[in-house]
Amino acid sequence: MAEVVLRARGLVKDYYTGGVAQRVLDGVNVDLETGERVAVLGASGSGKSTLLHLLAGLDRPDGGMVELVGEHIERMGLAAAARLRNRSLGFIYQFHHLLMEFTASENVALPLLIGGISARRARAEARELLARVGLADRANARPARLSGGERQRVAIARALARRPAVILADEPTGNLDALTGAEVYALMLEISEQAGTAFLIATHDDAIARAAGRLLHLERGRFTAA
Amino acid sequence: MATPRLKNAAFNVLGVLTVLVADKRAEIAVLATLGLTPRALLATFLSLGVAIGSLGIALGLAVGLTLAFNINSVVEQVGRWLGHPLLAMGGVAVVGLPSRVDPVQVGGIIAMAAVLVLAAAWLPARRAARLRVIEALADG
Repeated sequence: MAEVVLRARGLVKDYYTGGVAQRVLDGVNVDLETGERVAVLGASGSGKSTLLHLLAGLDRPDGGMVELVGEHIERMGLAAAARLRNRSLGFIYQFHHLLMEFTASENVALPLLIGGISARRARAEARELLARVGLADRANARPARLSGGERQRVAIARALARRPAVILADEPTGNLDALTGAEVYALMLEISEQAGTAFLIATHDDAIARAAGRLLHLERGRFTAA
Repeated sequence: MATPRLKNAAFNVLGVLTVLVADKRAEIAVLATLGLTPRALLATFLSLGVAIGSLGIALGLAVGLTLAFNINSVVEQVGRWLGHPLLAMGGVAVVGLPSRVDPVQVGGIIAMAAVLVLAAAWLPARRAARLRVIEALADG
């Protein structure tokens, strides 16, 4: 039986505007097993990004719990949550969010260096990861010299650096043209299959969502039937 | 008195780091999502402040001591450039300016500068450590 690497129960999140509470997530449950690919499909403002932030411990829920590799991230302090993220979680954003002053290889090495891996080993692993996403010859290029698709591949390599149990992807192909987006998405699925990394992909793209193993519809802060 | 100049140096460190933290909000947020702890962020920006401050202190010390040890040659040279000796007052030539370097005073100024630099670096470093990651990512 596959292990559940990410579990959320009864997640509630309110945002306040002018003192009035607006419920963004209303009792959301998620289970993600090792190597599973789950897409969260929803329109803009449906709460997808908020869900990812809560799952990553970047924000605190107003109710419910999040268990990442068996640890309650919602109860942790900022430092403990950061350390757990470094060990067990990777991120891929719509906008690559690479550090522009660093080379592709240095960007990929960052999570390893933060995790206390030696610079020499981090550099070597970063190059291996870049080779795995088809960018062996672009290791010394800075993001400004990479195409949109290449930047997103570097972001995928960076997300994989610590061999995390889970990767959260927020509209990972949203900023790419259809062909490049399809290539990047195929790469993510391939890696998920090879490495056994679970992917939770938030998207408003129906085709992307349907290519995942399981599809969850998020509407007004709740999962609804497809 | 050296204190106003030390304050200026501290404000320079404060200014540089404040601008840097504001400019790098998105990058700081990304580092936080990658697992950099608030304490590590604080240490990073404090170290940067200390590095900038140390450079300033070293330069100030080098220039200050060079001037102190050579004040009369410097005054004489400046007088030559200006076309009249600076050490002649009312027709009476002054033999030289007294200059004494007191190691205790120099040490005290260095210590005071170090404390001011740390204090100046603390505020922007703390701001980096307390950055609201989600907002910074959205803005970036």
